[in-house]
Amino acid sequence: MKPIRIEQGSRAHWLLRLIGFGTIAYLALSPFFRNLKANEYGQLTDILILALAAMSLNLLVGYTGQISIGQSAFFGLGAYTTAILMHNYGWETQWTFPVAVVLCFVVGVLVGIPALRLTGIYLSLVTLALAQLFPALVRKFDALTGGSRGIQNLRYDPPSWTGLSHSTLDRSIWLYAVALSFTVIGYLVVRNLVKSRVGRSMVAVRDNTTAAAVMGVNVAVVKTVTFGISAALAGLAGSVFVLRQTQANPDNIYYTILGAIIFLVIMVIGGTASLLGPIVGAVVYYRVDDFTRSLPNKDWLPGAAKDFLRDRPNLATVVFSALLILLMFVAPFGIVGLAKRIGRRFVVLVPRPPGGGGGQRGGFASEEFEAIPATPLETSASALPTQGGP
Amino acid sequence: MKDFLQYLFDGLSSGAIYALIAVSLVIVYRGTGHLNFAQGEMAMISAFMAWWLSSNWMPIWAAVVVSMIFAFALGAITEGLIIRPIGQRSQFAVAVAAIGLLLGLNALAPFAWKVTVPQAFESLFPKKDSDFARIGGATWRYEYIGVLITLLVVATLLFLLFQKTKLGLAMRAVASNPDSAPLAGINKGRVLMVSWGLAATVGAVGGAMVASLRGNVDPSMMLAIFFSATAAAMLGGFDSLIGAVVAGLALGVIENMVAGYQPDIIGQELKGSVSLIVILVVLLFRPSGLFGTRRVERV
Repeated sequence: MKPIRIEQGSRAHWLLRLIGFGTIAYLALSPFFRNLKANEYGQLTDILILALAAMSLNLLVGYTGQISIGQSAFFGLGAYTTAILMHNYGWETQWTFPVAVVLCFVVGVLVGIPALRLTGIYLSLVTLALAQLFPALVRKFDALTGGSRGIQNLRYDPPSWTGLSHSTLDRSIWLYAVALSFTVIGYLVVRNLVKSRVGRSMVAVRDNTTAAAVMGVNVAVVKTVTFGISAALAGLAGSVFVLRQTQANPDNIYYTILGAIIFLVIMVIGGTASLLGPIVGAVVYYRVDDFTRSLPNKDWLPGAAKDFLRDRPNLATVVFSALLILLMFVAPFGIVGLAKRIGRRFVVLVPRPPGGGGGQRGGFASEEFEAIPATPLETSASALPTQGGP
Repeated sequence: MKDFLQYLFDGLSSGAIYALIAVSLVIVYRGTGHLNFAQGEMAMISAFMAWWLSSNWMPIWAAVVVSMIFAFALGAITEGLIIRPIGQRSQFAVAVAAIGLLLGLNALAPFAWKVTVPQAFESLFPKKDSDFARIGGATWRYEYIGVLITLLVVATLLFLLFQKTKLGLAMRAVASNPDSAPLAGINKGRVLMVSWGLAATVGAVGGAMVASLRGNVDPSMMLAIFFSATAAAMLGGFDSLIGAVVAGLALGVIENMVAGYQPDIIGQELKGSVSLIVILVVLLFRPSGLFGTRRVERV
């Protein structure tokens, strides 16, 4: 069967986009009308937080090709900014978000500066150092951060104009709304960046830094700004996370290097260098995690398996790491990339010929022009130095 | 003087552990050009293996030896089944897979052995309160001396292996020219598997030392150490074994000196910042480290 060809920008293409947009909007907005329980709103909020964090990482790793395993430090920095401003200085919650974003952006740019001279594993080592250092810094400056005791009782009550009360349920709904709007903002930021000139510079830097520089891309600016924006988004995710947790504690796994790796796993499983990938990855990660946790209580499992799984809460992580490694073999482009590849068998988007009046199909409207950006996981990107003598 | 000696002795033992992990990182890097992010966790799993064997069947020393064999198999299988096939696709994917392995092994230990709290690990060296030598007023515990001696033994054996055996020659050949080595009749695949296995074995020794000094095994025990070990490997130049040993010891001593003389600013909590600064300084001023070969990159 030959795939259906749809021209970009044609009516059919717009219809497809509308359907996609409608589905996502329905999925995102329907919880408001479904009378969920407070903890269900909480779960959805968690998914959005993970998605936003993975999105921030995607900008850095997926599009710019800089492997960072320090995103947890920015996530934690955002979280602690909100927590400290609320707890120690009595700020209103909503004003802490911009501060967290700006602070993380500045720190991100500062980290990005030494990163200019680094590629591949060396960069990941510096970011690893950040991830390693952040909880230690929190413990060290305990006058500010509460040290190992942490900061408790962070309440974010819905403002009066929403008509929501201060009950647990209404607070969860409000936090979901906040997380949703931040995720949408994050998505738009990433999308507009990636589709713009800056985004093409990022991909150029990723695929061949030297060639990009020769073509006039200001590699230094692209790298540092990407670092900054990525850090800012991660900080925003952290800000919401600390409100969802209602407390900040340096022992929380998401502020440690394991958290940074979880963000990376979510991003890769969803789809590296794909806009929807982090969201899909976060949903899959959260649901599988939830499912494996509930396994010991499932009736259909034989008793022996239940006994085996009891008190072994790490099953999800083991499964995910195995899945990640497996994905590197079979589908390094992740779930979204896989879906796109399968979808291409049925529907092919062809670009509108340049300068044409629309309907006319150019002679080169072949599949080579179909733009699905490759991820750094498939091409042997030059981002990592391979071993080799002079 | 007393303080200085004390920080020196303490620093040498933590440095010896950094050196052991750094050496395994270097062996892997020389072989396949990868940074094995899971090296620390492989050592952790091996230490759990030793703990499990020793608490059920055998004396602790025998358990450590068996765990080293286990580690060799783990490293070799990782290279053969995961790293090499993925490496044909992209270097980036290898890094991601190794990071995934880090997370997976970290979760696998508590999952497989069903432990949630640190488990007591029998000491490999005399560990009574009175087991120390007194030098210049400072105390040098026998277990610290033991760790240092272990490092020296391991380093000597590795040196002999690399310089005096045919296998070592093959490994050096693959390291210096991975494309031509097979033309000279070297089974490159096998050499790489052996490299990874050997690295994991050295790591297992490191893991056992850490467990012995801590007196317990815990899934998070290698995370901070792995980070310092990468700093040491970098300081030594990523492809130099001698460099890794010297830099590991030096880093341990520097860390302890800084933490000891600046208890308020740095102290025990921020010891790790020393490694971060070392990494940054090395990267900015001498990217090939102290002992590494300078790389010329062609564009």
